[in-house]
Amino acid sequence: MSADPFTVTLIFASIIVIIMGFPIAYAMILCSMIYIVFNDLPLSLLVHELGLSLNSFTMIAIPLFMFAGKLMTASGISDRIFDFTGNLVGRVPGGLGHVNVTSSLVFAGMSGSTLADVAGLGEIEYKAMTRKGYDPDFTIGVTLSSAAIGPILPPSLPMVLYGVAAGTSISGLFLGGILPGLLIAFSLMVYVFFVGLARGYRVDVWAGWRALWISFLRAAPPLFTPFIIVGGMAMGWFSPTEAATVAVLWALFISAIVYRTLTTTAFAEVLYDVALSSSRLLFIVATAFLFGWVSTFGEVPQMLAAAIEGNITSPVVFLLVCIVVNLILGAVLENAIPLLILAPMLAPIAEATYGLDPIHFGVVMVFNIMIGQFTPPIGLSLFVMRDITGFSLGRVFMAVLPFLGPLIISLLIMAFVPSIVTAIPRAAGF
Amino acid sequence: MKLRRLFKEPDLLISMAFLLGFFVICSLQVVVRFVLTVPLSWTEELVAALVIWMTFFGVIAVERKRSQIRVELLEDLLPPKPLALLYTAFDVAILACLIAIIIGGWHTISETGYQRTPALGIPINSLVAIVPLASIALLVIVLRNAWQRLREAWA
Repeated sequence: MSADPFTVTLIFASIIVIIMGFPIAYAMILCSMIYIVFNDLPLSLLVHELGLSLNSFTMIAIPLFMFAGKLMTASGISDRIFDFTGNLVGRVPGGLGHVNVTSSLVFAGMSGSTLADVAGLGEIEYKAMTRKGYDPDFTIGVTLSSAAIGPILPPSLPMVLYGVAAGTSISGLFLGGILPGLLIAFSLMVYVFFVGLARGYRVDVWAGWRALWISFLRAAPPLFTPFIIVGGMAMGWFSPTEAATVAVLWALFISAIVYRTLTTTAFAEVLYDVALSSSRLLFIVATAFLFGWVSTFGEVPQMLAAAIEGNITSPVVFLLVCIVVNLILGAVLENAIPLLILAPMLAPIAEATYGLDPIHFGVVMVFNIMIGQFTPPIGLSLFVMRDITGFSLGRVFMAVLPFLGPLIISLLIMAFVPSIVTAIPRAAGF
Repeated sequence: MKLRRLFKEPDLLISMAFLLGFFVICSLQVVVRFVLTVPLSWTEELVAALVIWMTFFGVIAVERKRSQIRVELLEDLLPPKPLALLYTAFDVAILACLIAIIIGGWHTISETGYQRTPALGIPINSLVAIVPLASIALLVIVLRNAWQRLREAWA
């Protein structure tokens, strides 16, 4: 089967204009509009797809998880988490590098995205580590790479996007991300351990069980967040949107009543940020659905399926090809686009032709695409870190480059040892 | 942030109000379902409508603040004038998209006038009306941004 060459040309042209700097959302509208006009279809299709693609109750989880993450950050939990993890792992060789990774691991259970982790913890981690003599490039690398845990450990915004687009259970994806999140943290800590030994980084003095207990108590309320979300979804009590609502209520309770750090102004700032950033993201989601509709109308998924099935017979090769393609696309495109357009095309092929588990494939896809956050030209996390450190984008990228090794090793392990992803969802009945 | 400053950004203020509104409705649904064990049938429809409106009011603010996500590779490579010309060409293409949406929106509003949501009977055209309405505002902002960019490049 061959796709309409006009559609394929349009898709490639839109990728080129995106790389040239055309706003991503409008590039997808432009491509769709040209397709609609040249095929003599009604322009009302544009409005239908843009407006009604957001008419989904599950989609509401996205701004609500953002809301919960921002409230947690505004309540000043970053310092408490850093303090607690410092007492927990600061004396292991690699010292604050491990504190950095474990802080991101804990923070990931509340934030749901890489950007939130870098923005919420990045500055504290960077200042604390460089003040104690850690090499700034090493600090940037560990701060950025550990933020990769954010979109894997539940709650995860990219998993909500993937679940909506590919029709995979979001609760199942959330549960499937738990062990891979721990695996990523472990692989980074192994790397930090050896670098710490080689460079002789100073470790923290053990402050004793009492200090650990006190710092745990100070950080305890937010630490319960992932248990509430994951527990409620695993038990079938909450839908993803209800879990997100409960997360916001819990964050409000912690910040306004437990810590008493949430002022009216801080609350308005959080609302301001969430309205702006979720509108920006949901607009891209709507335009990606429109773009996806054009691709489907132009029979691109069928062409892709035929090309893959005609040339690849082994699931291992299929996964490897997907990984390489997604690493490239994740680097040159905003992550929501491959998640929303490529994923729904690949997921049915993975399941029907190669017998891959949909949750396993989904978690691998999400992490695979998220690694693109650390590569130019559109790695948004690099830009956040550039603003924190004042270094050039090139230097920030070179700093994170060695850390891509442990991340890619973790990706390959979760791709080729499916039980790491599927064990918990299976146990929970997914 | 000065709260008073928010009133100078009505697009974002409305978007924030919708966000707060659907959070309150979602909370109500959770409480009613778990405490009173009676699920509400209308909340999902209303919340989904509010999300559509929140998004498109927010997009007006995103455009006003020139913070659409784009690859900034050429910004570092090109001198200001060629860059301004390239971005103006992009703006022309964006204007074409917005005009197409406004025309399409006009047809959609009349085509979907008889369709209503099942629980609350909200007219479907009131859900999607925000898409062409926001496009009119976006059109004005894109023109203003293009004019400012050209002026800055040649200043």
